[in-house]
Amino acid sequence: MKNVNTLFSYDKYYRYIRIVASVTTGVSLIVIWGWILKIKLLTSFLPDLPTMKFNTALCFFLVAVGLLFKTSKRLPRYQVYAGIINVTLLILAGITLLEHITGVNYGIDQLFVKDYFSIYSLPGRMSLGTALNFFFLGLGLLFIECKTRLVAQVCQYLFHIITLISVTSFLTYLFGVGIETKLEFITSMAIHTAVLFIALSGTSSLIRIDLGITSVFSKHSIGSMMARKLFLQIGGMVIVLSYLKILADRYQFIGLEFGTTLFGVLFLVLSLSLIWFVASKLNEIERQRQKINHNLSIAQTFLNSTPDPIIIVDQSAKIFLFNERAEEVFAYTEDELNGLDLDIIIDKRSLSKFHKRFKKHLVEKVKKNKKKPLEVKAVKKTGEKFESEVSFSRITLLEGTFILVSLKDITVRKSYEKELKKITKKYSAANEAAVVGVWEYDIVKNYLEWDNVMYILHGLNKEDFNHAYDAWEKVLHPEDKQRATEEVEKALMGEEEFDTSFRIIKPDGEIRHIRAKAVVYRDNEQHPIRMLGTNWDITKEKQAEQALQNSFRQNLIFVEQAPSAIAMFNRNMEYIAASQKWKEDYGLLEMDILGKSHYEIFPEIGDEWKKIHRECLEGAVNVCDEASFEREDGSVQWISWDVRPWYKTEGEIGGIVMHTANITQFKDSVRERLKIENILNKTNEIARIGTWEVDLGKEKISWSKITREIHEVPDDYRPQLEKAIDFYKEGTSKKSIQSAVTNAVRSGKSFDLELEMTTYQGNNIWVRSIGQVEMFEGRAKKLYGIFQDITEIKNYEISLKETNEKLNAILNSSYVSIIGTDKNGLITHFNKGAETFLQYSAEEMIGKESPVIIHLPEEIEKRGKALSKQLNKNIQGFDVFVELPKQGDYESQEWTYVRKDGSTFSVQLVVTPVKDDQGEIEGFLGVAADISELKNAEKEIKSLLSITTEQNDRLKNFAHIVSHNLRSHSGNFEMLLDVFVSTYPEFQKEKAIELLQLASRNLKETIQHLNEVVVINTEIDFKMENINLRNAVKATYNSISSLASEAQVEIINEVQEDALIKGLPAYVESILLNFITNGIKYRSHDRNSFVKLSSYQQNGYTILDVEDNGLGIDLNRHGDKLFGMYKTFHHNKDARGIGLFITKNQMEAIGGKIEVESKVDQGTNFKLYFKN
Amino acid sequence: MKSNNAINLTCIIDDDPVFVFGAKRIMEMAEFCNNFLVFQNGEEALTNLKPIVLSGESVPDVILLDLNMPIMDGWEFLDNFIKLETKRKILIYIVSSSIDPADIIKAKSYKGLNNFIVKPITREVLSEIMRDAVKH
Repeated sequence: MKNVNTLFSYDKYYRYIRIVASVTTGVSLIVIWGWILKIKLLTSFLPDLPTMKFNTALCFFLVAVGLLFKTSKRLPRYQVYAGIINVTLLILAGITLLEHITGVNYGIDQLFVKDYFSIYSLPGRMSLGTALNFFFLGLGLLFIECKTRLVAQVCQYLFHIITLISVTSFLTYLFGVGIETKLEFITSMAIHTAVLFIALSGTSSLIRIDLGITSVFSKHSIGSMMARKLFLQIGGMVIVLSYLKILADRYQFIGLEFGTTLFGVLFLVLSLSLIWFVASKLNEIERQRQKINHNLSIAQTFLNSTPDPIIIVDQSAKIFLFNERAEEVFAYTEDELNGLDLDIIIDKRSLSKFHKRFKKHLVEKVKKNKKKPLEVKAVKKTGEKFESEVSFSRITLLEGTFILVSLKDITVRKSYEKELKKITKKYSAANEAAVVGVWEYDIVKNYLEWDNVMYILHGLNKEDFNHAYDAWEKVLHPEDKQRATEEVEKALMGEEEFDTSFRIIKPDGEIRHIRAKAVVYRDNEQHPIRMLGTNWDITKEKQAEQALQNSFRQNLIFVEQAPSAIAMFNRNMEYIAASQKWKEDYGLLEMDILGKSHYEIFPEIGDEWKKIHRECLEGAVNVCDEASFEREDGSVQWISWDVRPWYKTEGEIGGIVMHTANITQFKDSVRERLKIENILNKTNEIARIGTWEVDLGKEKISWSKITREIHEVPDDYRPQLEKAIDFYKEGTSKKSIQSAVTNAVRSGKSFDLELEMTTYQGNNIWVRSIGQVEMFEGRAKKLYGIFQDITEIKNYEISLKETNEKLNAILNSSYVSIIGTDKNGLITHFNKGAETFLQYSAEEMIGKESPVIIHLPEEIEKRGKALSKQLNKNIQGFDVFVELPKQGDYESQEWTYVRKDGSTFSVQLVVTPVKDDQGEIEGFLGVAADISELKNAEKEIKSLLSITTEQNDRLKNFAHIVSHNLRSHSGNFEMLLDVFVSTYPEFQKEKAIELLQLASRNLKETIQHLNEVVVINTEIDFKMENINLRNAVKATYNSISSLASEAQVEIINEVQEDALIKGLPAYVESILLNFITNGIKYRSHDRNSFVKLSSYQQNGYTILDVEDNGLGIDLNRHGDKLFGMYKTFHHNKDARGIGLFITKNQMEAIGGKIEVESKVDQGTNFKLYFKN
Repeated sequence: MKSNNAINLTCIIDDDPVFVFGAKRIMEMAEFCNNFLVFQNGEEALTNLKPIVLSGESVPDVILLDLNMPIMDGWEFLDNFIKLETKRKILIYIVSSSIDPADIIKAKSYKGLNNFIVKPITREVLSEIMRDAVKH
């Protein structure tokens, strides 16, 4: 059950606040009045008590008026007034407070009236307590409704402090006791001041009942309830007890200590009894509440389990409560239903009777069974309506009278009712129609007994019937008489069942068809004795049958005469009828097809068609507007067909009708048209031609698809007249389209513009816009035209222009000589460059001379001879330049040009034929560049080359000397030493001889190294081979594996399988060997050593990475001489300082290079760049 | 000192008298051979060896041939000498100070050549030659 209204509201308490404020206003006005008229009693309330100071009264007045404004929600500006009043109050109280604190008189005390009655030294000044209270009150009222809860909370407690101070003050008056001097500021508060403060602070705390102590009291919970009840009682009790104790003390009835003890005991006893009393009361309340809750939950369960929507409304028919079913049925959400007018869910037509009944229930309790339930149409949120039965019941609650409305969906019931009615109607009709007469024929007595229906069937009166067999025979139709009587006889003979039909003639001449059935009864000897039968009228059926047969026949005729191809088949697909056209179309003219199976005539009919036929025999209709069939001769025939069942009677399919049409011709023309349209569309699309139209009357612009595409607008973009023009580029384009449109509208002038625009996507394009105007009665009505993206064309145009300009620049450049001639060699063009080069002016040459004059005659002759030989025909003069270009595209040849002054220079001359549109040669263009400098450079290079060659030869020579002569000598030297030592063994131990042998060996080694280097440097002609680096590394490793394992160095080959490099196998082997043995040689003995080889590709190189973790090289110290000859960097006895030098040379010889990274005592990484 | 090995006569063709002297001495000391035929160049060698080879008498067992010689170098000598029909197989060694790979490759192309010995000649090389000679 959903609770709709919250009963919780602050406003309820505002009433109290306003009452207190009003009273305060009155009191303060009285005091003010007292001061003005100098009547002391009015200011002190009781004689001899402290007066309420004028300022105090004024402050009370301000507080009260402020509160009145604050609690009035009538106008928003009242809140502002309240604020201003509070601020004034704060200032007044604040100044007084300051006076108290500083002891200085600011003159505010007697600002308004003079204090005539004061017995104190500070006339007119309100007491410290009062000032403090006002200050707190002002502060609290100003900020109590602050949104920050903490601030509001503080304000609330300020109110509570005021209450506390004033209650204390009040009690001192009440008990007539003095106050400790330290708290004297409280006593000087007048009694009515104290009372007013209590009232004001108490009620002010009601502004925010959710805060402070007030919150404890204001809630509905049991705790608050207890607080409310107990507080007043205990409070009262404490006051009374305290007073009694004071009296006891004052008059010394009992001792002070005993009195205090007694006070304590009394307090305990009384509070206990009060608590007991209140608690038992509260328990009772709680029990009732639980009971109510229990009942409520039962009610809720009941309501929600009710299958029907139940809605409880108040007297004004506003929805107050409802069950879940109501939400479901009416499809409203909970929130929507809350407070909704009940009328919304009732159909308008049902409203008046609904209201009538609703009002009746509102006034009195109506007994349930007294009235027929009300049926109305209910409306769902979706607008859907349904029949529903409404029942009302009145509930009286505390809040008033409510009506429980239950709306039962009776749609289904209603539909059943309708159905029932229909059936009943049908049933009675059927009864009337099926009239069956019963007869009995006693054969022995020849007595025919008829029931009433028989008489009706025959249209006879009972009196007119003589009950003899003849009487029946008489009514029979003459044509049926014989057959019918025979059938009766047969039945009697036992030959056949009597089940037949025949016609009778009624007395009024009407012929009716009668169906008759009978059973024959026989005696023991099988003689028929009795016949019992029934007759009924089947005239209608017979007529229908007749009609059907007639129509069938008509249909057959229709089919046969139809101008289109139609055939009719029975259920066995045998021809019943076929039109002439059908026979023509399918070549059946010569055949007698009726009664023959379709499949028999066309054995080639496929299963697909058989299936269609079968389906149509089941009632399906198969229509095809067009289908293509390829004939045996390859032509395509378009056929449309319609196959559907025909019905013998309703529901009984007699067979199918097929209708086919040859639509090939029609189809062809349609296709032709579509093709043209398609081509046009395609053309438009390819040409990017769009259309546009501006309706000037409606100020509407429309764009075709292509136009939209050219604008690159999104699908949902709607072009607007003003915006369309914004697509054009500012400046010329925009101006010209604007003026063209204006002109067109004004004078009907069409336009054709090429414009630059920025598309929706921000692309810059060129478009061509052609516009036409449709004029109507001298005014432009419509503007329409085509729109084409010509960016590409425009770009070509622009680039063509640029190219032309560039070409012109070239033609006129003075760095190249360009000479144009006609076919016969007459100069037609002589550019600036030619003028500069050749010293002839264009005027001297054009139309006058042939390029022959700027050439050396002997060169022309020489070239002529060469060409004559090559082409096997006589070529001379101008033709030597153009004979080859005539055949090919152009010819580039070195020539010597002769200046006007006879000096010469070398040129590279390119001769190109100039062709016209048809590709016919019109003339030639000779472009010549001065290559004198090039020639000189060439010469220089050649001389350099010869020097280099010479040097290389010398180097080779040197190599030979090293290789042979030096070695022979050193060899001899060694050999002789050997001989000497062998001959004179006693010298073996001679130091000098030993050293000589060492020197000999060193010499040999040095020569060998030198030789190796020289060989590398001189051998340029070797053949580079493709080498698989991985395999090369493997081979090298195999050759040094024992060395590696001895030195415990792990060789890791991670070179790519397919790393192919170009090199000399011997070199590559040497290089690899060098690096790997280096890695082994310069290993570190402090760790497990390895040499790792890996490879990768970079910038056309295959890079072999040889990484070790050996001793490393100090590159800062040795970097520059790492690859120098005889450089060693370790104190290794094997180090010869030649390995890296040779390796580097070898690498360079095969087009590679080496890079190195190394850190001392960490390892070295060589990167070998091999060409791949 | 008569050796009982297969080599009786060694022919040295070299223009370097120092080499010839040293080689002879080493061969003698190593008991390689005691009889030598020495020629200063290819032409001299060819002229003198031709009748010897043709006659088949006192044919040297081994020829040590230098490449670089005046008048006729080792290659030319080889070209001509190979054409001669020898009755006995003569072991021919090129003994050169050239370590030019081109020379070594060229030497390999001669069928009749046994080896390419880089100078200086040592006893180890001699004993190898002796092993070759014994085989034949």
